[in-house]
Amino acid sequence: MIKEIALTETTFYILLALRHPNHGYGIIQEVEKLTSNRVVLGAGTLYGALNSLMKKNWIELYSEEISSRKKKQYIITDLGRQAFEREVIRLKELINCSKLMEDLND
Amino acid sequence: MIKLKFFLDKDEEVKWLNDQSRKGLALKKYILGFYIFDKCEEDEYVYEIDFLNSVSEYASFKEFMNENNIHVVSRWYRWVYLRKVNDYKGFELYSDLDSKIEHYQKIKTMFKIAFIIELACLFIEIIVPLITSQMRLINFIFISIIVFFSIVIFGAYSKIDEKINNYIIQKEA
Repeated sequence: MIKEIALTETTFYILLALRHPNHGYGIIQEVEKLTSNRVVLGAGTLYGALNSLMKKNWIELYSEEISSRKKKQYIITDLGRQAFEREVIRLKELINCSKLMEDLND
Repeated sequence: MIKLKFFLDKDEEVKWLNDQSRKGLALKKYILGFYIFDKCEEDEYVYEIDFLNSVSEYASFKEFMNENNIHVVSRWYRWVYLRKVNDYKGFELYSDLDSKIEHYQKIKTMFKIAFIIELACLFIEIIVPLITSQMRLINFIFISIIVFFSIVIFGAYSKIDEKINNYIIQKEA
């Protein structure tokens, strides 16, 4: 089994924001809201991340409408969901382990 | 208004463009060192500069930026000049260390290729006159010019390399 490295914070939040169809600007706004303005995605960062997630098939275009007025929307794929779930398991493990430190403080 | 200026560091170029905007000058077009400005309100826009993966992605890049209320002002080869209306929240294209490193890495590779081309030219400029034993003043002039550009490009390359290393150190911290 290939050992997966941890998702970056950017990837984590983009995948999360794509649990439903969303466009670039919508992702930025949702991530800002979720993190109370702590994570403000740069447009260049988002552009690069969306392209690389598309290549990995973790996300896909939601609707390829020919009418150019419509903003391009993306959505998470099953593969993306699996990657996200693996990350959540890893994060839960971290939180669980961190309790050892709390116990020490008690 | 047209201004002629040369930059080897895109961050300094961005700073300069923002200074111009503060004075009421908004960049409209860039061609080979010439910056063409329009009048604007003082501090109306903030600028950024990006380096595309390839010229062929320009259309989709432009569309994406437009959707994010960022306007592509001008493109020169793979360089794109971007601006948005100043909302005083800052304008940062790259928000995490990974994408910053990747961005500067692309520019570094471009400088590296330019440097190798310069060296190849230098080699030809030296070897050909030696073979034909016709080393004239003009050859020395050419060689001097190439050496000058090689040093300039190498300087830019080192500066960007330092920037990348700083980000890598931050990332590992």
